[in-house]
Amino acid sequence: MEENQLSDQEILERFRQEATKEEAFSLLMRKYQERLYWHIRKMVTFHEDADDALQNTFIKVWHALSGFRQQSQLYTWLYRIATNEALALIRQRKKKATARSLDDEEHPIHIRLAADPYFSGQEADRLLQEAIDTLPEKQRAVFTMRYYDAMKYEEIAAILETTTGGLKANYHHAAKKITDYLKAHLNPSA
Amino acid sequence: MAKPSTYRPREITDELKAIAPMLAEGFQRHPWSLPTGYFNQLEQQVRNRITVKHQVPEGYFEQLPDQVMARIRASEQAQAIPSTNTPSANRTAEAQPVRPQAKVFVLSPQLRWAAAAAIVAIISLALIRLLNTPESNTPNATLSTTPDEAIANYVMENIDQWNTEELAKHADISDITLIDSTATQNLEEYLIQDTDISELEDLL
Repeated sequence: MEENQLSDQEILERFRQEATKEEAFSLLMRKYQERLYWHIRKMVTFHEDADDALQNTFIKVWHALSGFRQQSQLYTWLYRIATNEALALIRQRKKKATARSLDDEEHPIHIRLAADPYFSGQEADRLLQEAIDTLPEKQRAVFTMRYYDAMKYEEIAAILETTTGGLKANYHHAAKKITDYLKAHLNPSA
Repeated sequence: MAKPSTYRPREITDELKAIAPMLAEGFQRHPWSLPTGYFNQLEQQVRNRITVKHQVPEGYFEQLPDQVMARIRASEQAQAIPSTNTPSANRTAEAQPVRPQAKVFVLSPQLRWAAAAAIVAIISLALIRLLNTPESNTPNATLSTTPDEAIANYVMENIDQWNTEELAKHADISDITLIDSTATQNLEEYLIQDTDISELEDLL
């Protein structure tokens, strides 16, 4: 069997042995890095932020994996850490923006997206990102997981450790707020 | 590198059409890209942050025991009690700096009494001056003569720089009227109409 195809269980077993710990961590990174990157990127929008949050995620994984009790799947546990790191980064970014200026008339996301070489979206897509950025963090996480990643409510509930009922309410609220924001900003004169 | 799948199951599309039809179409599913070769460097970057290696000069550990022993011997020699007749003891004595002797003045009894009386007189004068300070110099006296309008202007100009929570702790609130029941009802109605339950959940 090729090493890239090792199961999560096999990676965990190798990680628990000192001699194969680093090799197992490499395998784990190669297996999950792209999925976790895109998961984070859709929440934080920008590559630099996604890179920060992803590196922080893997550093946390390195320190905590030997204590992972397998009460959830490894995949779910990794996504949970990645989600928390993404949300923590968004919180920091908002704090910094608030500290810089309380009077910014233009939305900071709009300024950054217009100059971002790694965002190919049109005006409507930029506005959608702006709208998502106005959501409370839990609604933002649920919305991006459902809207962009097409995740089932059960999967999202396992990652966020919450109920599917609450998630549905969060998703509906988020979708409504985003629609209102887009209506107000796409055709303000209409 | 291939972009992630943009497939959206029908169940999710139908839900979107029902709750927010505007979002169901017209937006790119994946407007993001990333620098070429990003994932090739990522593992090394993470490893660099995990493993911070502290380096030592080449051959450091080979020399370390000899260096430690040399320092132990040197400290033992320094602590050995020197004999006064040995040449080394003489050198130590020579190396000591010579302290100048303090001059001692002897006062006669009359002069001692005169010095004590002078000190008592100085202290008494200072106390009398302190106790006779006019009341007009105290903060309360100054405030009582300042016009109310001037105080109000000063407060309005400087209130942003003050810690209002700290001020509130010392304020006399006995004569402040509580909000009447009509206002409370209005507040409740406002909360019921305009509060987003999910935001409250997020706060909790």
